Amino acid sequence: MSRGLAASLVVAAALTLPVAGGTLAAVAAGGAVVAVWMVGSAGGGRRRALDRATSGGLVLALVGGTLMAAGLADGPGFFGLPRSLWGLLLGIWLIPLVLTSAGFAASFRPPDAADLDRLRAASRPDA
Amino acid sequence: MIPVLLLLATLAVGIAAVRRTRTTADFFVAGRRLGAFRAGLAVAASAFSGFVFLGGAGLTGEIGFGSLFIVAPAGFTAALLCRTVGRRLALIAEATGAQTLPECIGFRFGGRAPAALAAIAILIGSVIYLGVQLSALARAARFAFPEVGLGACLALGLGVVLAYSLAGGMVASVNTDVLQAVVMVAAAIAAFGWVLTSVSGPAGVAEGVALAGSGGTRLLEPLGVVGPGLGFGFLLLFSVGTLGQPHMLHKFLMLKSPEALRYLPAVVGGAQSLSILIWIGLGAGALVLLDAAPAATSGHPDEAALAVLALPGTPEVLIGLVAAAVLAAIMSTSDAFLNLGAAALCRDLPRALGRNEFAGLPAARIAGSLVGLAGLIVAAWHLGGGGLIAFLGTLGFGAFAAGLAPTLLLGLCWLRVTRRAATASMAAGLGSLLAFEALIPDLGAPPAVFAMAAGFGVLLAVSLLSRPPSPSESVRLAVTL
Repeated sequence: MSRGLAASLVVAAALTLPVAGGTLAAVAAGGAVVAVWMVGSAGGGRRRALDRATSGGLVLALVGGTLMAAGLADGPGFFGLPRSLWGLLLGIWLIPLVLTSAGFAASFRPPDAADLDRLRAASRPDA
Repeated sequence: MIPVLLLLATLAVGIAAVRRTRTTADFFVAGRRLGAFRAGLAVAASAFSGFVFLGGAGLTGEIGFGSLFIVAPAGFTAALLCRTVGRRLALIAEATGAQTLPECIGFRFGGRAPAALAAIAILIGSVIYLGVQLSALARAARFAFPEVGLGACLALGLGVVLAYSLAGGMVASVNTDVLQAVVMVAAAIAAFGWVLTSVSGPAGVAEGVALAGSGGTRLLEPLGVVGPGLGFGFLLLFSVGTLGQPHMLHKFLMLKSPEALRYLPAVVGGAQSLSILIWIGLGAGALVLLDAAPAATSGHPDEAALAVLALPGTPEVLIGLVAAAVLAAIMSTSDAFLNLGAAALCRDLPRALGRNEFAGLPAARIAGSLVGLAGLIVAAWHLGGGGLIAFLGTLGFGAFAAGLAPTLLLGLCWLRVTRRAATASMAAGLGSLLAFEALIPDLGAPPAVFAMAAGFGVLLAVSLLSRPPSPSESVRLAVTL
């Protein structure tokens, strides 16, 4: 409960923050997404190291990406395009894409057959 | 030629699906036979619509690359969906045979009110989103055939989508989605490559934007034109709000087994990210090329994507491919919403009101036609006002985000959420969205973000102020397995 509650409080608080300054809004937005990501593991038993690594990488990419997008490291970057744009493209889009797709596939653990049977049995109308 | 071939192929796939559509389970959940690849492409195709393929370039032309806050979250939303809501939905469908999201919500919370409100949210959002697709279709058709009226274009588009999606239900919808996703990805890569070649690569975009237009290099910076509230509001809405999008979530009820979830983020995220290239490519083209050739500039921002392709020197095969992709994007989303709206109207709402559902395929098809007509009215109203597709699309997305995301995310992941909290949250999210849009639309961030915050806040407050519920064993297992 505590994890779900803490994460949802972060989300609810963050959703009210976009009107604040750029840096604060960046941290709020990145933090809210990470909090929602963490909600997914609530109740899911012991988490694997790979899952923790994926979550850690996502935190770094998102917070770094949003801060750069907010103009923290402004100026021209690769090919003359602004660093803020690269921050958005890499930190919010491409790095999380690779990280979460690969991380999810590697750490995914479907319920075993016995668990599914228990769920089916408990869900029968006469159960 | 290519768009005509796509239309014929779509109709052929749809007609073939009619034979395989014998029960409502076939109609609403494609017989629950989808593996990761088909489900992933279907999710990607229905998620990316005319909003992305036409609205994206238009919006980028107006506000610069701050528009990317809308689509960049697609990098992680697929995994976010699978990890949070999708896994639980797949388990509920596996255990109970649920065919719609309101049924899953009814299973989780019991009672009638949560399922009824979910059905109402889906119905409202489906009609708005269908209006977005039909508006995009009319804009595209008007650009291609200026002599044909908008009304005729609207009616023709609706007719094609109704024909295959109502005849073949979700089987047709999913099979055509796969075909349409392939066309969308191919067109996005080709258009991106063509525009980047035309402007001499990323460096050419930087130089071109600096020289052209009134916005200058500010258009290249994510927060150059849009404020932090709007930019990060888009990011929040299109990431957290994705967890309430029924056209994506419904596909999780069609998986043949929970194991199919493993590679779903890779397939969905990969297809969506390749499709985003059209937003970036044609958006860059709208910023650089249209200013360089004012004579080719379109009258309405939503026609910017097509105006870029109409510039001299563009290969005809590319124009045809992108036109087919626009059509594919519109159709793949429209058929999903026709079926979702039909299910809400003839199945979920009657059940939630304690009446018998309108059973059988004819009832589902009639309900789908009614939803289509309602979407047509919304599209006619929107086109009459001359607004941007992206703004109506944000409203449709927002209706689902505010109405459903808090309940689905926390309700399916946290056993402490009560039935009363879920009901109050959906009512607060939808009600506040309508109030913000009608009374104070200019909040500095998308109104749907505040409505979603209201939904989360009410859900938390009511849950914590209520006595802890005692969920059944089946609910506990579906949430925790």
